[in-house]
Amino acid sequence: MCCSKLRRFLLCSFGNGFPKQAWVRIGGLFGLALSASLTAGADDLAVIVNPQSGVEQLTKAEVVNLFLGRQKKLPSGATALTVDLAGPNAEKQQFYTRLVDKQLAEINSYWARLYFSGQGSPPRQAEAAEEVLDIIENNKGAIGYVERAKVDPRVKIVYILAD
Amino acid sequence: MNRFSRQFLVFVLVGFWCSPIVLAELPLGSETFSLSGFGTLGGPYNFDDGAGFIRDISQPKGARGNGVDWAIDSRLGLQGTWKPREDFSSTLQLVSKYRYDGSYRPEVTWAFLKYAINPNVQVRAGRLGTDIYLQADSRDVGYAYLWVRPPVDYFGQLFNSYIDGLDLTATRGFGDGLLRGKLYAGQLHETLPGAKGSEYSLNGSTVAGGHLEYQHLHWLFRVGYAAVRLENEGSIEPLLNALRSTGVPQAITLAQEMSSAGKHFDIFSAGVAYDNGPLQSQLMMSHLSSDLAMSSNNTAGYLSIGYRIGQWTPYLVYSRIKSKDPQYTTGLPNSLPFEAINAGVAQAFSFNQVNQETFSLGVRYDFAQNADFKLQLDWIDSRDNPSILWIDPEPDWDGQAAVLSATFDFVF
Repeated sequence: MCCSKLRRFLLCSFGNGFPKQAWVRIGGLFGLALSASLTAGADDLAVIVNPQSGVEQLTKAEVVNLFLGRQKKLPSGATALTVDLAGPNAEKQQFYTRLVDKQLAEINSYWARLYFSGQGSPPRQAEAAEEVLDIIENNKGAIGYVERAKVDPRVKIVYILAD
Repeated sequence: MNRFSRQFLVFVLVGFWCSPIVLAELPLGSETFSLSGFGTLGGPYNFDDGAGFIRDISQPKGARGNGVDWAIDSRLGLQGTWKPREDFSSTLQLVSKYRYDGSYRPEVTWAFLKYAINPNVQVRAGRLGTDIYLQADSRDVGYAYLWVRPPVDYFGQLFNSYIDGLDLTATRGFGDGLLRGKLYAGQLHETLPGAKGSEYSLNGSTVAGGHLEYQHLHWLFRVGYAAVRLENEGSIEPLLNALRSTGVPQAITLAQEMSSAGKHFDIFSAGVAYDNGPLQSQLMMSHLSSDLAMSSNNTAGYLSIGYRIGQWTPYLVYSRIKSKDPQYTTGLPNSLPFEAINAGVAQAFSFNQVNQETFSLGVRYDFAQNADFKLQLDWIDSRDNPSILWIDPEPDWDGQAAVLSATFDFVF
């Protein structure tokens, strides 16, 4: 049997998520002062799309609408394929903290409401940034996020979530 | 379930499990098919044994004294979704919960096909959840909301959770926000418990309505309307016959006004939700009116505010419902042989009254990514008794109750 989309969203990385998250947090604490002074914006998250999507830039409201499933269309008219990171992990938490100031449990609760009332499904869950980039490269309507430093020419930045 | 609804369901099920389009495009082993579920375990402890506390009017018996009543809030749901294409999906949901007949027999709550005409317009056909109010179609999914249960003063009088019919949803950008409209129509099929073990079948009754929402970052504004037409006669038919048989014109008119068949409900709702980071708040109002004489014509509302602190979200809710005092006259003298008829009419009217307010204080603890624990204390003041929201109140009940509830919610 295949893994349910929602179950995967909630659970598939449940096991390996916590240690990594804690580790990144601890590392983040120690490195915070140093990195902030040396490389401003190093932990920026970039919202990225396919270069052929016809989208140049998005507003924060548009990014919120897409990632919370309120809007299923990119401004260019293409059907949006939102790509999330399989959680919980630090990057994903950072994304939702900066975007809507929500904990991942709250995001899960939000999707449970839409999913179990038949209104929509959570974004596609990618295992790592590399998979996010692959999906976006291969789908004209795909939209996702990665650390700014991981962005490569296969994708286009349409919004920056700074700290 | 009557013959029509069974045929309808078979049609929908056969349609989506066996459609050649679905089978041809089904890549086995992918996420085209998904199975998930939700559940709640827990319930209320009603410190008062003067009346039975219920979650909504579909429940035949309530919590009164005697420990935690697990029946009121516990439930389990399973949902399968088949999505062979981006623009097409089908969903089947089964829910087991405490029913009008006292059993937990699982019921098909959703069974629909969904087609997106374009990314902004979608139609669904089959058995659909009805969102007459905001979140009314996810009342069974405890994990999806803050409270132990949706505020009883507001959601408790909702008499159905699904329709067999169609809905259409359209979304469009409006400034920086989104405007979303929904229209629906269909038939009702659920059954409600009545006084003294009687039942009222909604089979064949119809509902049509819609709502409009405007969503902008943290804000959601919503107005809705639903029109219901009842099909069946209620269990008070013998009383109505007695009224008619008196030959008194006022009594005959009253019998006509008290007869359920062909009567209507108009349900208006409006509200606003503000959700910003750790803060979640909602203010919702509704008004129900009916040409059924003894129905509870009422206005209801609630205000809910929650604020997350770490994994804990304490919340406060105030809710209120009040029905209009019924105006009626049987035109019969209160003496033999009419006393019994007058008393029966008075009882039928009083059974549907409600005048109640509730203060709730609770906390939701998100201890995992797919499960929570909630604790809630309700102080309830039911001023007119009997009431549509309480089961078998003692004649001398003061209408005041404290209810402590604990639930564990999960999704999988």
